[in-house]
Amino acid sequence: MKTDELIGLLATNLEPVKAGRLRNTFLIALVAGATAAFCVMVAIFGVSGDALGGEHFGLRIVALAFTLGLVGAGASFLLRAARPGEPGRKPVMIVCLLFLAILSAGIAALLFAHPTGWRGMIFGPQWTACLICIPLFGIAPFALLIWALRKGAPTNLARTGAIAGLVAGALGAAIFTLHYPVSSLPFIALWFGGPIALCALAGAILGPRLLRW
Amino acid sequence: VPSGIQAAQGDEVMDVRSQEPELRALILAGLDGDLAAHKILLARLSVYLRAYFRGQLARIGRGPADAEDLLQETLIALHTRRHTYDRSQPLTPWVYAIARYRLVGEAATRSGMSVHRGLKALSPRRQGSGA
Repeated sequence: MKTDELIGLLATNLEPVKAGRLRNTFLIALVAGATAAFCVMVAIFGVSGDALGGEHFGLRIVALAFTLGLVGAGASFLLRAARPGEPGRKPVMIVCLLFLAILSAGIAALLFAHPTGWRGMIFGPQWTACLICIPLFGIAPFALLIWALRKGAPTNLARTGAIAGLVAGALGAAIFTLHYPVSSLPFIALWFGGPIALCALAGAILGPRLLRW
Repeated sequence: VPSGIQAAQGDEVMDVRSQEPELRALILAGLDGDLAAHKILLARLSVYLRAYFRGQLARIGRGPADAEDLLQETLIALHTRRHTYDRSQPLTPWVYAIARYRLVGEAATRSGMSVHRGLKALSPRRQGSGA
């Protein structure tokens, strides 16, 4: 077909485009992802009475701030990365700063504590639960974010996939803090930060396959 | 031939960036449902994109027929994914990001390279050493 004919064909039926369409798709993906992750948690652990109360209230707030900060920065990156072109560096910088902040806080907490307590601070009561549950809770949000991204037109698939994995993992971790009694800063850095980073890695590997258009 | 296409042939040599305000007005009208504006936009962009694809493909030893295929794929992408254009941003980077994505994907598929290596082969610094 000649290009002029193609242009004529493309311009025969034109639906007006609503301005906030892509943004709404992402909002739906995030809300539905968080809901799905919450349902998975309730299905596994049941409803716990002390959602955000109980012991170590301050540490739970830190874990929640860290993970929701990652979700916020990552989601703003994804909204831009869903459009062809350069998404800008600011959200990625914020993500790096959040990781840096939680790592330094974790190291500082270890330095202030007696070395005999280090083992308990680092491994906490159940580090394996974090390692399993955070990626598990992140699966549904990841699938929904990929769905939203496929409605757009991302051009850097590995990087976009990585941030989608990061947001999904961070959302899963945020939901997990509602159930899990976080007991120290190094624990948050290692067993929340680590699994979230693993989710980002998985996203980077899957991105080019799932996001191609 | 529609008048928009004829008009576009004339300013082929002009830099696409100097056309930015006009092209942007056209896509904004198109997004609001203006058929004529959308058609003129695609016709005018196809002039720049044809030159872009011919130049890029010539570097990896491919001819104008391949460039025309890529141009058509890109026009379809510009049309079907027009909702990914952010109305507050300049139009040209969006258009060329789509064109470049199509070009890299094409180079990668044809030669069996990964997309990443396709990008490297097409980047100016690696010219001559790639593929």
